[in-house]
Amino acid sequence: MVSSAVVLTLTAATVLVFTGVGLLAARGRIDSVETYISARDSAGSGTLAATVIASMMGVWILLSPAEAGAAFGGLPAVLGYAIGSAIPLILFVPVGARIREVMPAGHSLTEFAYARFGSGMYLLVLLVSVFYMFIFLAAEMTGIAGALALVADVPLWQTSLLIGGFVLVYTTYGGLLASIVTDTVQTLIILPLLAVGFGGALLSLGGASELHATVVSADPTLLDPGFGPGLEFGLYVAFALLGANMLNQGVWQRVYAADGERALRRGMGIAAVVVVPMLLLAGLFGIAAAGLGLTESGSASIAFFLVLAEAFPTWVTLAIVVLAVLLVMSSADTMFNAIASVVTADLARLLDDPDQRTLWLGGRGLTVAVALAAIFIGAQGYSVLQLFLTADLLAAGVFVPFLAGLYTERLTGPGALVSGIAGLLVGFAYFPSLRGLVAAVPGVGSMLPAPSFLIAFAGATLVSAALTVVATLLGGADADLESLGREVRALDDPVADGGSEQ
Amino acid sequence: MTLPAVLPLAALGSTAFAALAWGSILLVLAVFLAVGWLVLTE
Repeated sequence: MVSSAVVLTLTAATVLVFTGVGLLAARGRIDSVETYISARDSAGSGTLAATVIASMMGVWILLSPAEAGAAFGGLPAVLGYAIGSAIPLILFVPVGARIREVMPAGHSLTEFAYARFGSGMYLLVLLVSVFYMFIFLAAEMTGIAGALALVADVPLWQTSLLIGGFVLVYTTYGGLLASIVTDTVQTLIILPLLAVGFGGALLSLGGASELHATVVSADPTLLDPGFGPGLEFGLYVAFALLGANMLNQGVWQRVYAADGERALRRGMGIAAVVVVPMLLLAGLFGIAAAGLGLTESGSASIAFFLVLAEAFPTWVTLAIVVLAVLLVMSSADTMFNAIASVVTADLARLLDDPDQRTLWLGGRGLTVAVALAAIFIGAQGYSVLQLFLTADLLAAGVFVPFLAGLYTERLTGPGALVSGIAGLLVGFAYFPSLRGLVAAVPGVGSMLPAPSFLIAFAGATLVSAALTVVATLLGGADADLESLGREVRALDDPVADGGSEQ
Repeated sequence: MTLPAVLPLAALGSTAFAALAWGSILLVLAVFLAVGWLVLTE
């Protein structure tokens, strides 16, 4: 095991360097609440690709795909994870262009939900989106704390406080701009580090041929692309990732940050291309862990780090530690600012003509509150997988009617709300993790169908989509999409960098 | 709903496995170079 002092020192050095980068990047450039939560038209295709990659690829890529490969069906499960992560990014090319066209001065997805559908759908989207983003954040803090505890016996609270605290410092000061600049530098370190670290790991496991022979002799189904349970997992995780990412405010912020449609198209396209091999590589180490017999005690959730501890030389372990810290930092700063931006944009509407100081306090205060909650949860070592799946299910039921509002003027707010709730009811009925809760409703328990993650996720998405089509065909509404752009107010009255009015 | 236990597809061979692993590593490196170039020329 690597010394905890070495790992803590390396972690501290990494977070200090990037806190410095974030503070310097934002110094003197955050002159309004608008620039704190929005970086409109500022990112070219390279910067956009880098910030999307860094934001979406958290330390979860070292945990979940490996767990999928080890315990949920081998190669097809990993392929489902990899391709399922790329699909939302590809979809954001046309959807992102439409978002910018319909609401060019917008800031958040909840702003769109309220302007397009009214308060009912707004509340549902707000709940689902913030719940998903907070769970993402909590899972990141929990993941890195658990990983460093496993690799070097670092106490959970030290990792959580160190990383969460420093990310909070530069995110509270520099907002989205600091997040995008640090993301860009982090991606340019993460990608080669991941390639070199994984290449070194593959060699230290004896090379691809020896690893293949080990896995096949242990369990040939691990490498069978047609293995049924793996295909089933791959399908439902693709549905889960699709809904959750379409309701990810961090991605919506970056849609607005793109410097035109060409940058949006190329940035999202490049990100979609690279997430596939990133997740495939991580997943292959889960398969390796299962093949090496390291996950027999039910520890598949940390499969990647079991291989790390078992077979990797110290330099690879330390490279992976830096990689993991960068992955967490780049996702955590995105989520801190994304959650704060949702509420800040809504405060501007909910409060009666708030001044800039009130909005500043709201935005920065909420960033601190979210960060402290995430640091606390990260230090507890909870299992967040069930919460993650629940958040994904909620998103799967809601995203289709929500996005349909971008394209049709006939879908009413109640129509979208009923479609989303119906999708959620189908999802809940089949969702294994919520059966106890749903069965507690009098008279419902005996009516519940056999549980299935695949039917829960696909059913929630497809039923809500079908009802959205019906509601659109029956809807007599004539919403004016062109007027949405005029309803969203700008937040860019200049104030001093420190947060007080000039 | 449960899919059939094993669909009739061949398990990944040694060469294909190596190509998948090393090809993924090379693709990540290629994207790193592309993103780096795009960022530097913005």
